[in-house]
Amino acid sequence: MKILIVDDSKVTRKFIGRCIRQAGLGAHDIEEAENGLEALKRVAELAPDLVVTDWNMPHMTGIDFLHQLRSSGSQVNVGFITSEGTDVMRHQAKEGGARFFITKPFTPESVRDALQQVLP
Amino acid sequence: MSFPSAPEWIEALEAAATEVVSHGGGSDLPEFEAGDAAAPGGGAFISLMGPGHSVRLGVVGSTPALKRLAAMLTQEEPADDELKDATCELANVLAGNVRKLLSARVPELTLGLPVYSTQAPALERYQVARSALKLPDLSAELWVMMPKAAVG
Repeated sequence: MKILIVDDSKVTRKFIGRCIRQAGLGAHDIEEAENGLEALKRVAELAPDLVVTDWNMPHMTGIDFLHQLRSSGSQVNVGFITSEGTDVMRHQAKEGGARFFITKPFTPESVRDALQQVLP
Repeated sequence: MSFPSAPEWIEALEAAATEVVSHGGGSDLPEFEAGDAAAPGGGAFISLMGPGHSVRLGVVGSTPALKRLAAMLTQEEPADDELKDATCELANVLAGNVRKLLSARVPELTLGLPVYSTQAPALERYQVARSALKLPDLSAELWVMMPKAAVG
């Protein structure tokens, strides 16, 4: 499975990647992008099975990234791991087709639980 | 509803920091007291913007203190070359939790992007409230900076 992690924080991308590897759900190719613009290109190149994205990033918010992904025709699974978790944002994410919404701080267990819902 | 006052922002920031520390798995929860006048080190600052108002939140401390706080998010201490990134992420998480805590009061708040600084920012135009976060062998400060024009 290919998983693309989108977050402007390198230490957070590293931690999410570690959580995914520790989840024990099989081997995954983990790729990274540091903002939504880069992620749009990476999705086109890689055709990942899952995109895990932050919300508050330079150039483009996570929800704008999700909307642009869908506008481009991509139906890739998308989930949020973000520092902001208001009800409005959760609703926007769900409306946009996000499969999960995790707020920071988060644990490897919360990532594993989310992945179990999404990955076959 | 009115924009929160500096003490209300500090209270929300302390609650967010307590959430981060308790998430970090330590047995001790932080205690808070009035911050010192002297800035204790570098830190990261992030703006929260509401209708007609804004506020900057910060987390400031020595390098070891910031590394330990950041490790409560990622379960490992950042390397020296990751300190700036990790501290900005810490500020981002604190601000995101503050936003959630105050979302009923100020639903239109939006977050800026965190900025790391090795020195205290210029404070002339701000009302600054500080809270010293105390844990065993760890001391850092939480800052709230409100433009004086907005304080009224």
